[in-house]
Amino acid sequence: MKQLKKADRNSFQGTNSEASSDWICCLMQQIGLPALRIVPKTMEVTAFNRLFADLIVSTGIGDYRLWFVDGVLPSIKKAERVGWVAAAARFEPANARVQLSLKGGRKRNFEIRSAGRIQQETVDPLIACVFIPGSAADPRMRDQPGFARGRAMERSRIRDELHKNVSQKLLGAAFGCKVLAGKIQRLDDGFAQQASDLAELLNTAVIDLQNLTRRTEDYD
Amino acid sequence: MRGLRVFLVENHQDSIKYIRLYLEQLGHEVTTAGDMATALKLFPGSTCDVLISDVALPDGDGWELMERLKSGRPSLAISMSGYGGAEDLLRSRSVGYDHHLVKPFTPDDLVALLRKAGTVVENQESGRDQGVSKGKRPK
Repeated sequence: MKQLKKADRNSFQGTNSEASSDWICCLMQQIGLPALRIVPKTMEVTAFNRLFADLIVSTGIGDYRLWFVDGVLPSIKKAERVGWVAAAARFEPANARVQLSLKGGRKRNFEIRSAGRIQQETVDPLIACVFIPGSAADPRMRDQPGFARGRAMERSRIRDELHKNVSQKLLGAAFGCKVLAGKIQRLDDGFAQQASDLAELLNTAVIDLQNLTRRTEDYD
Repeated sequence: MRGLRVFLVENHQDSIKYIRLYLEQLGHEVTTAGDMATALKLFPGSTCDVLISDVALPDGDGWELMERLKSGRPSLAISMSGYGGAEDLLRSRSVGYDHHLVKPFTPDDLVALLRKAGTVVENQESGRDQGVSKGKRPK
């Protein structure tokens, strides 16, 4: 992770072998999200993580301080850009959709989420921006018919799988275990108790599966 | 629990095998069929007390089976299906099943219903054969 000296007061020493890192960018890197920090008024990049660098590299912008202004801002959807910039200037949390080009030219949608002022940062506070990838970032996508159809199909497939495979086998196993417990009881009480415990465990698994299946039905 | 004559219709081999073994262990007499055609062939001669049928059968379904069993219906009928939707339950009730079990159910769920069936059978017999000695049943 890179960082300008100017922003060193907002940073901490990373736990890995890399040089000093912005703590938010470092944290986001660890949980797998591209992130950067920008100066509110100029939107100059002061810190970023490797995931964001990988994301922006295809733009060919050499100076990383301009990555946001030249690489991200123009790609924010027009209708949301003005609102996002205004909110960022006021240091308020804001969201906007952005489409970035990946290596190889493929485009991918992200939601850029920026945080408001962070209390611990009292000197030269910076805006933290995180990029949430994919359609999951856009709640409006979830309402589109194709997306809903896909979700319904997947739910149906999982439910069928639960019934045709898991559920049937579990049913047979639960009864088989009861049979064994009954037979063993005649031979050895200790083993019978173990078999009975196993039967109980299977019963619990059966009930868990029932609840799971019901939950998938609740969504329909 | 009194021994009952159970007719089990289920196409899943492991399930039918172990349900049968367990019910026999409890003292019930079990006849099995893996599809609707076999069930329709064997059921009339089985004089069973309880019918337990899966809804999903390879050559039809448990609802059709019940409708085609015009005579000799059992004292208690139980349908089973992998989907617990209200529609399945209502349809099972409408064609004549007394209970609907959602798979996977526990052995205890089934045993509880068979206890009810035992009571129904005893009540029917005492009403039908008052003063007549009952035939010997499985233990």
